[in-house]
Amino acid sequence: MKQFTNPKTIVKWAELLQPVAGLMAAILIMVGLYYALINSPADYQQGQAVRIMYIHVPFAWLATMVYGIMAVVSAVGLIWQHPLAHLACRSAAPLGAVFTALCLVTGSIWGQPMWGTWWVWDARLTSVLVLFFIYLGYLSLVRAFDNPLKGEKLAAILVLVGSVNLPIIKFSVDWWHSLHQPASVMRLGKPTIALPMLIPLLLMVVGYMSFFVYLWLMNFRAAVMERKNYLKEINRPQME
Amino acid sequence: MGNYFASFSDFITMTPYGAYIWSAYGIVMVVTLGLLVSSQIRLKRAIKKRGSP
Repeated sequence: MKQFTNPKTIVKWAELLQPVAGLMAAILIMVGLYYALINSPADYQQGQAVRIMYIHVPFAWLATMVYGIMAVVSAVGLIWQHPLAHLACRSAAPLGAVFTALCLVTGSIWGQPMWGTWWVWDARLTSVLVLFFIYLGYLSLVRAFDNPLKGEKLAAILVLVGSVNLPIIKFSVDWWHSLHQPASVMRLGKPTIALPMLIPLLLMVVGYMSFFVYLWLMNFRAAVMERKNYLKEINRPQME
Repeated sequence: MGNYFASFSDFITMTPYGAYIWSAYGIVMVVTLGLLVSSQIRLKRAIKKRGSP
């Protein structure tokens, strides 16, 4: 176990896995786009607007998935004080924030022709907006201290407290009356979505998940190097 | 245009939601490309700085 948690081994694995994730993302997103835009049927109720779902749903899942990953690595950082855990969290946060923003924007663009409004203060939409603000809060807090190690510890606590929002997002459509449709793929029993629509959706979901892994590993490698530079600088004797 | 569009113009207009669909895909493509480029620039900078004394 110790050899897998060795920082050098983790960075080496990140270097190895990054191009694999990038290649997977490029192939899956290209094929997914072909199916999403060209080779899938219009929905009997939504018409062609269903094609927005193929980019909205991947970002909705990624928004919560990235936050879940951040919560796990934050816990690892706080409990076991692994030197790379907070860097992994810090590297994922901007990506999660952008994915959440894309989820909100694409959902809003879909909502205007389907619901007749860009936005409603619905439980699902509002809880995802809260998630976006938690991401922004994390990014502000982690940069708020001269000593990044202190900022990362406090921001990790914020991530753990904020993780209470994840089940609220997931079950908001069941707990409250909502304009947002209930789960059609991630549910007990069979998915309710038709196969010709499920194929592009899953291709785009796995494609964008690979894209996230690719960017995350790249940011993580950069963060490790930046941290080494920072530690070297603060340990350097002052010349003046 | 596959089995689901009568013509290329039908594909472009996505009757009647073309503006919504293309703007959603356009925003996603621009933002994801931005993420890709900014992450690569950050990594290159970090590698360059590590090499400098």
